[in-house]
Amino acid sequence: MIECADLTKTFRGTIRALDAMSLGAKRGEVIGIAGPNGAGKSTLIALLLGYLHPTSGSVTLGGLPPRRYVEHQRVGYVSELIAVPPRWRVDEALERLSILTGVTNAEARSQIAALLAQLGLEEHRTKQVRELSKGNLQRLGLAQALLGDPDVIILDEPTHGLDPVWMLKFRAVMRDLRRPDRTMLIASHDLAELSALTDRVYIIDHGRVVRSVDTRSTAPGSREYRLTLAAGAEIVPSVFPAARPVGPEGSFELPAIDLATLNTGLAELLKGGAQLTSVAPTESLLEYHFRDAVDKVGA
Amino acid sequence: MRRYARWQLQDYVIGPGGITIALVVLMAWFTSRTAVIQSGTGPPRPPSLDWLVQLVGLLGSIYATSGLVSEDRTRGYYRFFFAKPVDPVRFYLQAFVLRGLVLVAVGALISGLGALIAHPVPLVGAVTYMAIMYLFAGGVTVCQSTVWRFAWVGSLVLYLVSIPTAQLASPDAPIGPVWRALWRVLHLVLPPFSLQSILGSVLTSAPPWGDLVGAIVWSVGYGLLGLVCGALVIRGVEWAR
Repeated sequence: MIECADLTKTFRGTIRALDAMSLGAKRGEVIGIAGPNGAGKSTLIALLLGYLHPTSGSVTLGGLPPRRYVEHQRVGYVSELIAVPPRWRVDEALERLSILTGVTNAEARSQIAALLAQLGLEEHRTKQVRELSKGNLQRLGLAQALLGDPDVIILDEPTHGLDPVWMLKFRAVMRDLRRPDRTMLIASHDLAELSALTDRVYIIDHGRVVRSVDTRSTAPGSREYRLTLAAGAEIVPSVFPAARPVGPEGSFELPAIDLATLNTGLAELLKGGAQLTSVAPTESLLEYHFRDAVDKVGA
Repeated sequence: MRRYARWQLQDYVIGPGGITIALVVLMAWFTSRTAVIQSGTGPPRPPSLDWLVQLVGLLGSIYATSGLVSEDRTRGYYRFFFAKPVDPVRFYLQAFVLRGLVLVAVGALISGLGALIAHPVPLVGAVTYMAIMYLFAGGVTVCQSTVWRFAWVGSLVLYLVSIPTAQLASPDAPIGPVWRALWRVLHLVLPPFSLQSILGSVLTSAPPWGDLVGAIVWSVGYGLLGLVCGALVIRGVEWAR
């Protein structure tokens, strides 16, 4: 559904924002895009919507050039910057954008009412956009993206500026958006959000895909762990020579080890009389891959 | 898309269009307070509103179209508009036509006001003049609006440059034939704002239509060329920066 092949975008002839980037998303998939600031996330999205033209390579939506797809199908898009004329009222903005989406008046009325309720905007419906807080503006952005029940949804930093309560509610809404005939792309700095919502995350840096992480995979690679013991801390160095004590007594960080080595060591600790309180990865799988991939590019 | 017309109309009427209408009414009122003594005998009367039709035809058209595309680009509104199934060329063409219809209605308004307070301005003449000037000046301005924010500045500069250029290109200009040929080339390239004075005769009670055809075709054609260029820029332009 979304296909980028060797996609390159250069600005002013020298600034290479995207460098032979290749990625894809099938119908029914939710993919994530993660990367440091300036990695090329917004450029990629602008190319997907046809707001920029590739310098070389190709980008297609549903097999069509982006503008041809966007102008004839329904795409839901939330931009990082919610730019809506400030004097528009919330309900007016949704009515206008529903007309542009091509939904009938009757459909628009019911969809707008449902979205205002779902996203907690009912009490703000008669407010002008300029009166909205950052969080409410973000909710308006999501509401307009969902008008017309689009088959492709592109979300650029969708929870940016939301308070924790609405961040969780947003995630629930986005989770419910998943369906077999819909493709979603979420660009975010929030790795926990991407882990929770996506099937696969493309980690990009300096305009390139530096790693693709299957977030549904449970197969752990070599990872760092934090180990906390109520008793037997003195035998840890003999079992895990590279362990370094951290924080309160009985807490250790184990440098990257595979699961088999970890389990063998833990068995030894238990046999030696240690009492484990907790064993947990120091970072999520995605965080690990993100740090590792970006560090390698930096090196 | 056609359903969006009422919103585009509203955007214009509560913005530049409303200001244009308010200024027209204000200037007509000021004119009604101005008494001029006509040649010959008879009581003093307010002057005709022909000048107002010509002024609004030029400046109103430029004002109506200056930010038509550039405002959405610079403020980023295009992000949501054109993520919808909307053809940007049709979107702006519809807005352009609607604004033109309002300005033509303003021409009719001036004609009506003229009949009330001073010499009547022929309705057909006022409406025709406004339509020609809108297609011409509006077309030139909206083309510039696709590439920069200050399209109105560009149009005013072109106006100020094209008038002396037309004079220097005329056979009566006291310059050599080589320079005249160069000015003539420039005159042909620049928007024909100098034709405004010829087109002003549309506002007379019996316009010499036969003599005006060339000026009308040249002006409208130039404006339509501007519209086509603007459409090509919209199609080819990178909206994001």
